[in-house]
Formats: sequence, structure tokens, C-alpha cells
Amino acid sequence: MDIGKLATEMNRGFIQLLMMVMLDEPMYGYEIVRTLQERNFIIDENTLYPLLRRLEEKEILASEWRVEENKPRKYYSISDAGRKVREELLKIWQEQDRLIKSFVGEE
Amino acid sequence: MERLKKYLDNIRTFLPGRQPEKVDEILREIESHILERAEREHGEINDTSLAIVIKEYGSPEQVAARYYEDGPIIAPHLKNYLFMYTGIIFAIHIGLHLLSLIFGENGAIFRFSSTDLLGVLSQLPVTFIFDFGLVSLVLYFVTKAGATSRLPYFTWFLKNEKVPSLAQRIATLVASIVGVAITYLGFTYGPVYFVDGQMNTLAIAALDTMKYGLFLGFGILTISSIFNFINVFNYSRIVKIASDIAGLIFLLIVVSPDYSGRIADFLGISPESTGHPLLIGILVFITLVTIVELVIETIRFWASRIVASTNT
Repeated sequence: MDIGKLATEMNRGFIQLLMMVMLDEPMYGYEIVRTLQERNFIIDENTLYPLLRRLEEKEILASEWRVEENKPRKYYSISDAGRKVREELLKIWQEQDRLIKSFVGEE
Repeated sequence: MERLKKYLDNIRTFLPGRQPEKVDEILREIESHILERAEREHGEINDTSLAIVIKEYGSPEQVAARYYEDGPIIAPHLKNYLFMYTGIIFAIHIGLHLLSLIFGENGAIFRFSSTDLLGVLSQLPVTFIFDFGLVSLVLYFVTKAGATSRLPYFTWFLKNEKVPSLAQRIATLVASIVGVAITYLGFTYGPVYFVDGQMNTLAIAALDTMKYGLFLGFGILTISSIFNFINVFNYSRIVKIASDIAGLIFLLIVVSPDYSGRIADFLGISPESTGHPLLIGILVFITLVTIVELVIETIRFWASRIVASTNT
């Protein structure tokens, strides 16, 4: 069975939370991709960049353009509103994690 | 860099329905990501490194589709196609209904369920919903398939569109008004000629049929004159579409069994004369010409919108 679509749906929420957790300090898109690669998490740029944009539109993330090494870079960081959302989502995630583990046990 | 610009332009064509400044921002972000990756992964930004990164980044359609969150039933860039294709099929469908009325009970090929006016008119909304649904279904599958190809929108009709000058529009109006006058005199007095100031009636076979034909011409030309008048002041495709639709509605009314008898009474002609084969041939010809013109104008109207949405 192809789990691709199920994995995509599951990842969607996870990556949103991941960005909120990662972006306490401002980072630009490529930097986020590389940082995750170093931790063996491969993320498709075409998934990440629109997602960053949507989080920005929801005012969970803030952004600013900076010119570095003669290149424009868009830096994202979590907003104050985003921190509150993150707090709530982390609670949900921890509850879900605890619930799953109660069934499948910790390996 | 030319390749990158072209790539971004292509993505822009698949991002309609968004505010221009937001589209600019999205394209700026994508440009920034591609430049960053080309330099970091290939050492420098040049045509070769950009070509590789662009290829890996994905097709413009796929990249653009990711910026629409809720997975639309029909991709936003296909919506103008929905209206254009529905318009084309609906125009042809009206034409077939009209032909079924013209042929009446003898219409073996164009036999629709109703051959009276009310029946046909009540079928038109159903026909429209059917056509709209059919096109929606096709575009739904196109969207689900990834919408990776652009559908035809017949730009040939736009390239070959000539907007008439004011003088030409006035000349068209004058010609149609003259036509109205001639056909009116024709079906009122019959075919006449003047010798030494004396009006003489021309004796011809199928006089009643000719009068009926002239009455049809009078109606069509009157409708044309009204829209030609509007066109003199405000020339637009929508006026031409309205003119064609009004012409078709007129034809639907006059050829329907409900009204052709009354018209025959009004003109003082025998009811049988309205079914003359030559008249049916002329009606079929007028119907086909009107339908073709309506289809072309519908294509032009929506194709111009598609072009506008891909150029902004």
C-alpha cells in the first residue's frame, strides 16, 4: 500500500509545528532546508516555502528581507502570536504522543 | 538569468486570482531560493547551475499549485476555460434546439424532446446546467491530473480580430437600417417595381413564403440595428454576443409552431407557406451563421480574459 498521501497529510501539521519550534531565531528558506538535512530530515522546498508563506499570512511567522552577500534573503521568525499558538499546539502534540505510546508502547 | 526570468514568468501565469503584489512577493521568494541554491550547491550562479536547480525545483504548474492550499476542485487558472468551453457548447446546443424546431416533426437528426416553444425554452436551463456540469467534470479531471498542460484557448481568433473604425460601424448601422426598411416594405407590399412613377406588383411563385422570409429578415435586421447602434458608441464583444443571443431568441419564437401560425395570420399568408423547403434552408443557414458567430465571439471574450490573466 502506498502510504505517500497519508504521510503527506501527517507531515503537513508536523512541519507547521516544526517551523514554530525552529524559528525562535530568524532563518531563511535555504538555511532551514540545510539545517533539517543535517538532522536527516529531508523536506521538499516546494512544500516548505508555500507553508512558510501561509504561516506568515496567518501571522504566526513574521518575515523580513535582508541583503547578504549581494543576495536578497527572506528571513522568517516566530511572532508573538505564533508563540501562543505554538504553546497550545505543543500541548496537543504531547497529548497525542502520550496517547499513541499508551497503545503501541515505547520502543 | 534569462532562463530564470522565463521560469518565473511561467509560474506567474499559473498564479491567477491573487493580488499582484502577493504574486510579486511569491516570485521574489522563489527567485531568492533558486539563486541561493545554485550558488551553494554548484559554486556559482550561471546558466548551467540555474538550469539544474530550476529543473529540480519543478514545473511552473506544480510550483504554482503548491501556493493554493485547499486543493480547489478546478484549478484557479482553469476557471476562465470553464466559462469559455461552457459558452461554446451551450451556443451549439441552442443551435441544435433551434434546428429541431425548424425541422419540426421531420427532424430525424435534430429530434429533441420538445418541438414547441415553451418546451424548448424550459429545456434551455437544463441544457446549460448539463453543459456546465460536463465541462466542470472534464476540468476537474484536468485539475486532479496535475493541470500540467495548458488547454487550448484559440488565440487565433484574437489575432484575427479586427475592430472596425467608427466610419465602418456607422456604415454597418446605416446598411442594417436600410435592410429593415426594404424588408418591411417587402413583406408589407410584396415584391414591387416602379415604371413611370407607377407601382406595379411583381407576380412570383411562393409569394407567401417570400413574405414570411422577408418578415424574418426584418426581425433579424431590426435586432442587428439596435445592437449596431450601441456598437457605434460603445463597441464591445459583449454587445455582439448579446446581439447573437437576441437573434437566436427571435428565431426560436418565430419558427416555433406556437407562433408561426399567428405570424402567418398577421402577415395574411397561408400557414403552410412557412414550411417551404427553401425557407427552411435559409433558416438553417441563418441559424448556422449566428451560432458560428456566437461561438467565435464567446471564444474571443473569454480568450481575451485568459490572455489578460496570464499577462498580469
